Amino acid sequence: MKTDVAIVGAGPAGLSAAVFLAQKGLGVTVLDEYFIPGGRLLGQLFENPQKPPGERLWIGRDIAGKLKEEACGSGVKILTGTSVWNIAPGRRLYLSGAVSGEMEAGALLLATGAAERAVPVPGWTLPGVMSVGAAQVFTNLHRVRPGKRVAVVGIDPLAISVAGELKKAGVEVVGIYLPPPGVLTGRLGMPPEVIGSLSRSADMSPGALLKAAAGIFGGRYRDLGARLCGLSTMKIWGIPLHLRRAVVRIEGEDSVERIVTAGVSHCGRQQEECSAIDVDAVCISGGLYPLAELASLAGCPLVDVPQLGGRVPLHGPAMETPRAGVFVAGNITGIEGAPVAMAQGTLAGAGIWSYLAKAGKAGEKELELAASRLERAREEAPIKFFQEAPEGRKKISLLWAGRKQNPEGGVPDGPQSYSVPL
Amino acid sequence: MLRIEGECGQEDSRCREEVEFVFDGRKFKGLAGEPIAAALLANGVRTLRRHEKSGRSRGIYCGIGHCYECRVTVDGVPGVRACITPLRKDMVISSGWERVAGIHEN
Amino acid sequence: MDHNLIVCRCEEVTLGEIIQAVEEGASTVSGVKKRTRACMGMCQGRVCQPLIKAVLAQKMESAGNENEIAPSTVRPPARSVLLGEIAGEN
Repeated sequence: MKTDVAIVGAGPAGLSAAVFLAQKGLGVTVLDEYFIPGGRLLGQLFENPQKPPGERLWIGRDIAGKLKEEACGSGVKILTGTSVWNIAPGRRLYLSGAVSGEMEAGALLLATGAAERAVPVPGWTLPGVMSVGAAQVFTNLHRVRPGKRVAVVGIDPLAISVAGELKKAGVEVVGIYLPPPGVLTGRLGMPPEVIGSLSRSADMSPGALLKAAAGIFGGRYRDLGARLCGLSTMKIWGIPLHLRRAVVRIEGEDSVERIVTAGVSHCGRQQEECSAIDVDAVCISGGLYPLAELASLAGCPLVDVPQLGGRVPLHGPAMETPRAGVFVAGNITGIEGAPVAMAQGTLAGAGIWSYLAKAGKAGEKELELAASRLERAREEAPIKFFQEAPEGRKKISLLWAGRKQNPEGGVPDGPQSYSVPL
Repeated sequence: MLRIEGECGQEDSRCREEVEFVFDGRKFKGLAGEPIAAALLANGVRTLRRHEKSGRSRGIYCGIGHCYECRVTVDGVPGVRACITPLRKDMVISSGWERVAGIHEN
Repeated sequence: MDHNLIVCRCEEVTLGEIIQAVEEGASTVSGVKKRTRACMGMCQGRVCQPLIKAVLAQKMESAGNENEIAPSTVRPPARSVLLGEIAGEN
């Protein structure tokens, strides 16, 4: 198989790039192992109170559907149910699943998104314990509840938002709790840290939290952090949010039957256990990290940027990597929301078009336009996952600039699997 | 009942067609085009396989194909991720545990 | 934290085993992987690698070493694949 452009990942970034490139007349193939295009858009369902009424509801599934239609209408080939298990020099992709075999691409866009950071709790391998992302997809997309009585572990905007979505779907949510404190949870298990990051993101508004806080504090949510510090429990849509209580054990014979919770001191020390609470499912939230394994296989150097959520492929202003013809977009470059991923996809599309079609001045114009749209998308983002992300992006662009001036130095070592240049 | 009634989740027009399938020798009903894992969850089945060494039960974890915890055997093909594989009419699905248990017995 | 807590779900490697590997000298994810089989299961470390890094980071920090912890090398196949597919039988 041959294609002008292969795009791995049919999420907001991949599909946006595909639309751009197909409309420029290039042959585009999008690969995704899920059976419906859309990526993480598919499970998203939230309200943005900063938007005017009528535009507040973000229904990810519908946005994904529109993107897919636009892509297919422009001639993009979407291969779902197809996994990429290797990438060899020359942008040669190895596929398995619905379509298997090899595919050679003139240019390659890696838009593989993010994976959820695990938060282990004793008993977390029991059926009925799932990641908050899984709970979201099953509830909002497939319309099956994770359980009848559910506990949520992890206190962050996504966890709170999903707890609300579960309740709306008729699930009894017994509470939102901290993860057990310790080396594996670190900051996620420390009440002051959790409260701090929660209040910073509440300022920017994950609708649920903002509204709840406004409800409790009479519209004043600016000092949420200070106010939360004095509290141990608050309620969001009637769901108890436990700021000083952790789920320390999940118990059950063959699947989840109950949770055991314990108090957590200000400095993150576990206190006395409480009596067990019966539940039949537990949803765990630990945030996202960029999923860059295919970039690594493609020989792209990765850089550790905690401000962006983890290791990301080194990339330039047109989303290009040091590997010729290999581009990146979306959460693989750092954890941000879907509108940003879409803008990044279009920017990568412009980059790929300039590269393949040698578009010169016209290409530069498209790049400029896409870059300014990306900037606007970042400014308007309703949720900022990492407050220091601009610092992280600056680090990337400095490394990129350093690499250009001095090809021998300034770039972190790439993966050792390939030394052959593409 | 875990299925949320009243609204079709996916756009897929086939998504409300009820079909029969078999899991570990038992007959179930699910909706064509939904993930196998969703169909089983709606039937109250949470254990999708058992750990090959310890035999401990496992089910849906990541829900999007990253963790492989939900892998099952579908129509003879092993290692199929139940969370990202759509249900079709008359699928024969097994947790694969009998096969592993058989090896242990020999 | 409970040392019997399973960190690597695929290979059922516990926190205690990972801490032991680190105490025995593992200073990279690969080091822990080779000693314990953590990250060697079907998920290829997508679930447990960040957790192993957290254990390593704590040890490095207490040793005053703030260098980045080397991740495990990514090797194909990144996804499970049937041998027939590799052989080109469809």
